[in-house]
Amino acid sequence: MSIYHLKIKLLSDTTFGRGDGVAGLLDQEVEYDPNGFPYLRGRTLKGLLSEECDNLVAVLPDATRKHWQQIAADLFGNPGSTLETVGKIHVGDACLPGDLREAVAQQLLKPKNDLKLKPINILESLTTIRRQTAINSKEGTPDEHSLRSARVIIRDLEFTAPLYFHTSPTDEMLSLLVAGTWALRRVGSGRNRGRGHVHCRLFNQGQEIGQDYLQRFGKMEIQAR
Amino acid sequence: MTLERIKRYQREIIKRLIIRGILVLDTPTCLGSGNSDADNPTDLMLLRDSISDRALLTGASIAGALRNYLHEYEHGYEQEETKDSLATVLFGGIRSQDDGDQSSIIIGDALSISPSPTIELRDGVKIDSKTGTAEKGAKYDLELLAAGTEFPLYFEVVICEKDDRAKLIKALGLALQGLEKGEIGFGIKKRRGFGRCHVKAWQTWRFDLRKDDERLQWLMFDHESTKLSETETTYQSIFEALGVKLDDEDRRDRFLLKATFKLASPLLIRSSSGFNEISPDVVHLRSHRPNETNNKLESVPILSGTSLAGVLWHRAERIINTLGKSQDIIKELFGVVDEKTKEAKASRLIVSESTIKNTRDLVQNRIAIDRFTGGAYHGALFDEQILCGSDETLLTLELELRKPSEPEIGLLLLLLKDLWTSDLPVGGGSSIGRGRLQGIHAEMTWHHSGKNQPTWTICQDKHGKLEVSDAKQLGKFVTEFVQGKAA
Repeated sequence: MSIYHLKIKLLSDTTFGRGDGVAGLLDQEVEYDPNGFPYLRGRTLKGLLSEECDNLVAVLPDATRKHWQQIAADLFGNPGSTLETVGKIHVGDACLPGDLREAVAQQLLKPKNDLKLKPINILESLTTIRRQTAINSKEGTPDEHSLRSARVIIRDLEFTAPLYFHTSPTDEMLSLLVAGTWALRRVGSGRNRGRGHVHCRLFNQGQEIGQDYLQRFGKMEIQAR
Repeated sequence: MTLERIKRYQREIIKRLIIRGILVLDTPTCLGSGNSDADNPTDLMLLRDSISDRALLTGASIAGALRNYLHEYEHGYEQEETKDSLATVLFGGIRSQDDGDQSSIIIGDALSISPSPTIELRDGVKIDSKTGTAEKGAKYDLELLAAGTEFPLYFEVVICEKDDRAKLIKALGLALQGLEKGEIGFGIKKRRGFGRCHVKAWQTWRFDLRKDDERLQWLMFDHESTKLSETETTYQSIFEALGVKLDDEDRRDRFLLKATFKLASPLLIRSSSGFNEISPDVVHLRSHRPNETNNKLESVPILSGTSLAGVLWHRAERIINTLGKSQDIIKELFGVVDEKTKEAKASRLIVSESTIKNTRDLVQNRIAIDRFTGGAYHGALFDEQILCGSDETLLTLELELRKPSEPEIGLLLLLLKDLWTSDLPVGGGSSIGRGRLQGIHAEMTWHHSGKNQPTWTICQDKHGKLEVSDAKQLGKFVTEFVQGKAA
């Protein structure tokens, strides 16, 4: 098995939504673990990567498109996969650094921790709340029942997701994955409206997989490794 | 394998267009955080970046303002948005639409370029129209970003195979021209002079994702940077930047009044700022403005839009009451918020904030007199720093009335007449002769979608002779108001 890592740096405040809120406080809560650390689910991340790759492949010239669609299918799999058609990539959750989470978890486990930390304190230290309302275009006043509040993860944090491959990916797969990674710039809720602006890069054993793979995307002459 | 590999609706994005610009605030702006905690030092705090002191203008705010402008430009004021409008093409389906498309434009959050932007505090109070004094519990204060604060703007437009490209680019150009021309405001009290801004420079990048080299350029584009590129061409006009030419289809119906005055008496609009051990008890309101020569911020005396609007409102009420007319016209013009009936409507009269040029400060010492003894009241000595004018002093008021009717223009002319003839004082201390203006020049234009855009001027020369370009028509507006249906 080989493991690659996807690093996601937040360039703007981001909401990795959980799909619900907190009654009386928030309309949109972020996904967070039992210790209060926000994270992005691997399932969601795989969907985002797959969408970006599909967007890039969809506009390739006819001659190469089918080829790259097959590579995308091999990499991400097809809906309702069987063992034969299952995707080669398995995407883990994108989390904050493991040593930080471990250190805080140890602190929280202490029966009487000196700092009196609780998971909600961790969450609040890494997030803030944004509010917004819609204006009624006819009256020029706030639209009734349009006030919303959403928790956002503060910018500049870096999340890392492991990408597992049972067998090593081909150069073409890596090329597609790198292109999708570079194209992935907006994630989470409100991503067309400023939230969730991110910088993503792919790493193998600490080394960034960069432009040389990027330049191979969309071409046919690559030989399988 | 076909496009239906994953059996989902997928946009075939064939082109991407990236636009950057620099937004500059022209008047103080309150981009509120919406946080009304009792711990806040002011009633409304500014929204700040989560990890620094930079001010934050969210992408959602920019999108809302642009969408509203585009909608008003296309359909006129106070119209409900429809499914097939330009705004929907660019910004996606309306809120009530279950199956609306997602937005074609991606708008970035904008953090102020300055790491610690200049902040000013402004307070206001509601005046009771019956007593003419401050209403109890109606005082408020705001934290404002000073004029001159700059924000980098980032827009990315996604163009799909099925999109009507010409319509999309037209919508984009029209929306962004509103920012460029300073016709879009941000934050609260936009109709009282706050939140005015303009864009001073544009840059664009186009990528055809079907071409290998352009696709690679887009993938490697420096999307993290917020500065304008030094190598890319910078445009002053968004239409030049986009390479399009559009016919004027402005459907907004508005009456613009621009009037220049001089001070006929000293002026005092009280401010909360400037208090220290040596400053006078009361100082005239000042606000930061960039110096025209070196662009550095300096504090200049102003007549605030909130003050002027309040004065106009109360005089309009008196005129209405004198003529025995219905108060509805006041609600229509100046807006209404009724906590009991939940009725709320924004003002149709837009009042701008004006700087006052060529003035000098004067500190006056005053004392309260004990009415019983006739002597000086103990501990009631105070001093006020007022604004004195000269023949050089100039003050330009700008008013905009949206969707005007002829009687409403008539009422506006009566208000202008009262200001012009020093009958309507602005600011405080009117009972001791302060706050009187004297008109010099006024220009009025009625912009609407028709061919004729009538313009009127009123001038007063140094000898007091008044010249009115079309007195008959202006007189007709006033007659419409005095004798019209509003009676």
